[in-house]
Amino acid sequence: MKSALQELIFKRGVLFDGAMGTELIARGLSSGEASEEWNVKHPEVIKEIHQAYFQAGADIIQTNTFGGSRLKLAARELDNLVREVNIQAAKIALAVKPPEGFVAGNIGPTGQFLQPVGRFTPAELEEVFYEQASLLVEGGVELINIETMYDLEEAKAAVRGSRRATELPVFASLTFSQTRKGFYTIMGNDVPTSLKELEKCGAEVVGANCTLGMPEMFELVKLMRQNTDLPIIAQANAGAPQLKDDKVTYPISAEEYASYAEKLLEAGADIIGGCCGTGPEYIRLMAPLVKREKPGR
Amino acid sequence: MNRKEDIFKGMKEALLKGDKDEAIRLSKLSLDMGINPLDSINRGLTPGIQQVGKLWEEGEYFLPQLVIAAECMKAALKVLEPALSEKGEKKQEIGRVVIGTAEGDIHDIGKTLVATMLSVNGFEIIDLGADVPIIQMVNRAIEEKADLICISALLTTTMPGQKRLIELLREKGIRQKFKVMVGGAPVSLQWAKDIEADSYGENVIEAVSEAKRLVGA
Repeated sequence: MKSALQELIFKRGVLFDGAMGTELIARGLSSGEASEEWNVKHPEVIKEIHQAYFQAGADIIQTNTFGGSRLKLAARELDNLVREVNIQAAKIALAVKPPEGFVAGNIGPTGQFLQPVGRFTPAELEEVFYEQASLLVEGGVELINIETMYDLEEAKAAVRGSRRATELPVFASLTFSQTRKGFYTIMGNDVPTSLKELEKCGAEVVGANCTLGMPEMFELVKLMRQNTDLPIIAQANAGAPQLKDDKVTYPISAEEYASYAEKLLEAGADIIGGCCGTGPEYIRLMAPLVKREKPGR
Repeated sequence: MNRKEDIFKGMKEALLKGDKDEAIRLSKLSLDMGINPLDSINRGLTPGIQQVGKLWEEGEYFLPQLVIAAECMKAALKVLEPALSEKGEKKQEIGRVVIGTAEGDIHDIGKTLVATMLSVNGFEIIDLGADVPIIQMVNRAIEEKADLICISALLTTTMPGQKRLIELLREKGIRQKFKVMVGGAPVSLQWAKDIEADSYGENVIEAVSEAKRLVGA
């Protein structure tokens, strides 16, 4: 791993950014638009959001490219924009990066399934991820963050594709549900197997994001800590979305979220950020609690 | 053991194991044996898919098992349905459903699974696919004289489409004409209540039982 980033992760808790989608909706993103389009249509808004997260204290922010893979864009007939969207997203983020900050290229699922559930092979998905990672690296990102993967096999394809594209650090998070039998992805992947296989493919940081709120993520972090020696990244939702006074809100407040973030650090997470429903205020309150020496390590 | 029972048991097993060839083979065999296709559906296939659903709820089965079981069932029904209409025993249509994923959302596996399961349970399905403009969902529901509108959303960014659907029905003065069921990973019972949907289908199995309840079947 790049020494500056590696040193940081070794030295203290590292703060990732909060939600992008939530911020875009608050700024007028309509359900007919792909978030990634705003890299081209409203780059100044994206810039503003990145700035807010850096100012709130985030060490690492992510490019607005969650749905920026060719396959995901193709479903909206926007695949002709794959190059522009990813390169622009990286440039916007780099333009507001403070000297001590980092920009991660965000890669999310393609939305397609591997055989036999869907039509695709791992090799085909790997090519798609290779392309997206290459574009993000060309745009200047300093690491790749693969997240919200619900299929271990797709996540592995993403790690392999990214690994082929660059020697920069590759982080990989899956999204787990809490079932009666424990934490599993919707495809049935368990935590120990998943973390092991992601590491084998070349991920240098592993973890989980989305689906779960903070109490559940706390339990998951403890389980992940028992199952890997790699640094762990954790980004929980601020609870399940609710409707209050005609607006979509999230039940976990910034204060409560931040106090849980401290617990995640103590439970063994190394990099902590926020997922759906979180915003700059969450990150601001988390900063003093996360960006400190990790207890017991 | 009764050969008929063997067939029904075999069909259930085929669904549980995800063996499409076996499901097709047994369906053909059942017809050759003169077994009423309605019996095969009610006593073989349906118990199979219900058991798959139960295993999903218990955390034993996951999405791949659900998808493959649904495909086995569809393949079996393809064999049996012509025989059903021949006999004049059309599976009783218990309701008409317009289903789709909300505008802006391209996820459709859960939605398609629900559509398949509702179909095998006796509903007439008009599947509008994914990324369906809300106005289109409403217009098709009116055109098709649907009883139930099922709307799925997998992203927190597209969930509000579900709220808009209900608002649009109200604006047009036709809220009472349709039952509305919502579903999707970020959707919750609380959300369904907040937006005043008629029901929340937490998973495929619940979606079917809820749909039946809503049409009074």
